[in-house]
Amino acid sequence: MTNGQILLTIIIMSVCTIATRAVPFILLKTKPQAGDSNIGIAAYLGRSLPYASIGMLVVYCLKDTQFASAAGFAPQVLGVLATAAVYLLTNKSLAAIIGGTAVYMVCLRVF
Amino acid sequence: MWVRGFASAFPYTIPVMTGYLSLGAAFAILMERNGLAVWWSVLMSVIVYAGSMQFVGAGLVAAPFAPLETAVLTLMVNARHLFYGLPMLDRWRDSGRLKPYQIFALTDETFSVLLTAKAPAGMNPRAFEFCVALMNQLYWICGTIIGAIIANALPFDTAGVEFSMTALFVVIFLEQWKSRRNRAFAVAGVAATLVSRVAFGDKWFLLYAMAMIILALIPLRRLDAERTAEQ
Repeated sequence: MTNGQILLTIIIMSVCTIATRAVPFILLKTKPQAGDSNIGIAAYLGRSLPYASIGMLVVYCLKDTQFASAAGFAPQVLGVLATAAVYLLTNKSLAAIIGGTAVYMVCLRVF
Repeated sequence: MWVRGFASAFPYTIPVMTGYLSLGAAFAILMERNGLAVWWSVLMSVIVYAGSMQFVGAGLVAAPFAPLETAVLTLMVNARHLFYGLPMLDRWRDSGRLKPYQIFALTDETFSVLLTAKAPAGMNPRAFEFCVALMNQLYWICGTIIGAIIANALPFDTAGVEFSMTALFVVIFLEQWKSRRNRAFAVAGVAATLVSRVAFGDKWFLLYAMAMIILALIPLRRLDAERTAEQ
């Protein structure tokens, strides 16, 4: 990527992020009531997309996993398991992220 | 007034501070590893200011230029922000010149602080909220700078640190998984992306995945709990 393309990519991200935050303020005058049909499908997508897109991002992060040799998948599998284990045991997001990343980094050098 | 505003807002922002300093640092380390100079990281933290999306963005700016994919991905990843404005519509009606920044800086964490934090008596609540929002972004930017310094100064090999992004999304995924009624959406996201990765290779599969997700969500609408409750 050229510097111009990097800048453009960041600007696109900025504009689209601002759009998602500003749309309610631009389109709505007051808080919509339950059953307000004119925001129906948009409201549904806004509610469901966060769940679907995090699922998508987990897969996206693991897209380069290879199953030909242990080195291609063991660090990913163990890293994800470690992250999940720390999170489910301690309920602390940051501890889980640091712990999982540490396990991954170690595995990367072991396998 | 501003000194008092920042002083009274500070205690409410402490939990955000730890999170933003470390995640901001992780983001900047990722950018450095992808070969991006520190000012790109800082620019992103200043004008994008969206945690998860910046982690994804660190990959986007290191890959071939893909403006459409970038736009669609940003809209999808940040779709949840559409809801953060709703409780603030009435509250911020008369915010005046503070309003553009308040809307810009409405991240997940700032939103959750603003839902519960109360301005001290005698203090303009809008100014208090502005202080909360600005301090949070400053933590994020400081974290970014600290991360860039760490990435350049530390002698050890940082290979594998990019997994912090994977771990972040795994944690958010598990957090969301607790809400039983939204699991179908999470499964749809995983399944659509897996299928398109296998079917379309590693270059453009995200665009296919996003299209498949939208198509999958339409029939799933009958599972949507809030809609069922309305009828």
